[in-house]
This record gives sequence, C-alpha cells and structure tokens, in this order.
Amino acid sequence: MITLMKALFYLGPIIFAFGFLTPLTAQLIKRMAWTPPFDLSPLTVGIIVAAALGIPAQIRGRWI
Amino acid sequence: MSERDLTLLSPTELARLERDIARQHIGKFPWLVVIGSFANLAVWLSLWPLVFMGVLPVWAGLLIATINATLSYLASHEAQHDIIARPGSKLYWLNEAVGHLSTIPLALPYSVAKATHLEHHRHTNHPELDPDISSRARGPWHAIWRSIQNRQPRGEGAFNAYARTLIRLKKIGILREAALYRLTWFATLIALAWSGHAIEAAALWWLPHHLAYTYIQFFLSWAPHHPANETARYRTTRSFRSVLGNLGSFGMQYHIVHHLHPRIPLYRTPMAYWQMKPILLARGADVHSL
Repeated sequence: MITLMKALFYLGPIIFAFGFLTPLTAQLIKRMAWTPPFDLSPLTVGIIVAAALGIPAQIRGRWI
Repeated sequence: MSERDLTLLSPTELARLERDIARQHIGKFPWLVVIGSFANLAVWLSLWPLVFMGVLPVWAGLLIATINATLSYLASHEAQHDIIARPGSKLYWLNEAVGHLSTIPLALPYSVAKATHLEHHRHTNHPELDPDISSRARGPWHAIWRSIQNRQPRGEGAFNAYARTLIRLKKIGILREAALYRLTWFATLIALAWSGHAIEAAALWWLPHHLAYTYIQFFLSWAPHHPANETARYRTTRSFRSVLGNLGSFGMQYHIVHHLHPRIPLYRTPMAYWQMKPILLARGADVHSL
C-alpha cells in the first residue's frame, strides 16, 4: 500500500497531466467552440497539451 | 502606562502585565468562527449544483470558491490552537469538527495543518525546524513566487516541507492520512474531469486551492514573519500595515499577539495588540508599523 502510494506521488505530474489536464483541455476547446487544426479532435489536443506540460514537469519536478 | 514607565519594569513584571492582558481575551467562545466555518462550507458545497446546472456561471463559481477556500483556513487555524474548545472539554468534538470540515474547500488535511502549524509555533523562523520557513522572501512579489515554487511536485516547501516535518516528528500516521487525503483529492478531480466536469472541477476546487494557498502563505506566513531571520520570542513576528486593511489581510496585521498568546481568538487580537503595544515596545518587538 505504501509502495503504491509512493509510486503514485512519484508519478504525480504525469498522472495529473493525463488524468486532469487532458479532459480539461478537451472540454475547454468544446466550450469555446474552437476547431483544432489538422482535423485533430479536442481529446487529441488535450493529450498533446498534457504531454507537453506533464512530461517536462515529471522530469524537472516542477510545472513552472 | 507610558512606554517610559514600562522600560523601567523588569522582564518578570512585563511578563505579568502581558499575561494579565492575554487572560482578558483567552477563553472567549468564537461564535462567529464556528457559525462562519459551517456557513462557508455550505456555500462552497452549494456552488457545485449551482454551477453544474448553469444557474451560476463558472467564473462566479471560481471567484466564490476561492473566497471560500481562503476563508476556510481561518476557522481551521482557530481549531488547530483548540480555541473553540480545549481537549477533554465537552465541546472538543466541535473544535475538531470545525478543524476537519472547514478545510475541505482548501483540500488541506486538518491533522497535517495542526501538527505542522504547532511545530511552526515551537520553532518560528528556525532554518531547519520551522515547516513554513520556505515562505521567507525578499519582498511581496518574491513571496508570491516562492509560494508557487514551494508547491511544485519536488518543491522545497508546502506539502513536501510538511512531509519532512512529520517524518522528523515520527508522526507517520498523520503522514499516511495526508497522503491518502491528497490522493483522494486528485482521484476526485480526475473522476470529475473524465465524467465531463473538468472545467467545473478546476473552477471550484483545483484553482481555488492554488489561489487560496498563495493568498494564505502571503498573509499568514510571509507578511507577519518578514524578514523571518530572528528566533527570539519577541522578534519572530511583527505588526504590519496591509494595503488591504486588517480584514483583507485576515487579521494578520496583529499576528505578533497570536504568536505570543496563541489561544487568543483571532477576532480579539487587535484589541489585545493595542493593550499590549507598550509592553511589546519595551520588549523590543517590531511593532512600529501600527
């Protein structure tokens, strides 16, 4: 249980990025009625945003 | 009694005078805090259906939820010092209920807040032992920046500092509770997000958490302890004049009284401050701003 919790905290930025920022971005795109370029779906854009923010945050240990 | 008279008194006589003033304020039941804490929580809870149903716009929800999250710490702070009721007394359950429930909008576990805040009182401004020392900053903008930096995943302060403190104190049970609390919070946010309510979750809980933390760390941690480089009883905190006034700075202009006598309820600290000011001056406290 403790090992699992430690792992979850260690992977916190990645989990938060894909778990929260992905749907947040997708829903913001839909709410603003914005059409993403290259025929990308809002969810795909959400995944790209999450990866762009979450992976560096995971490596650096900071979002900003 | 004038300042001149007081400088002639011995430390023991000054301490007696200070204690006499403190006694006038300790033990008063903070009704407003108790009622206010439950009202604050009720308002925050009511935001969820109101925003979900579109009765309240998201931006208004964000604004109100941020105020709720910020206010929530004040009630918890009174409970952390057992001001509502002392351990073993008939109403202690109320003290603990206020403590635990009030900080839900802030997503802060009460047990962590209590353990680390009391440690802050024991070791104020100590570079290694004060859990809040990471809020030390050169000026107001730097303090805001530090607050944001401290909350980064591998940041120096905030929850990481609290975890280090709890490990040092061997309060592993509280640390486990804190970890579970935080994971539950993230899981709730993620569940809300994937069920189509990411914007509402961000506006009502995630962003208010961060905005409130910045505000709380600025006014409760940085401003009253600045420059935070002394550890003597009368030099750890100061009085200061806030551009937002005493209400806007959450009553922290008189924080020195709270550190000297933590069981004086927040609403009585201004009164106690003005009564104690000559004593504080005689003690060499930094109380020149007010």
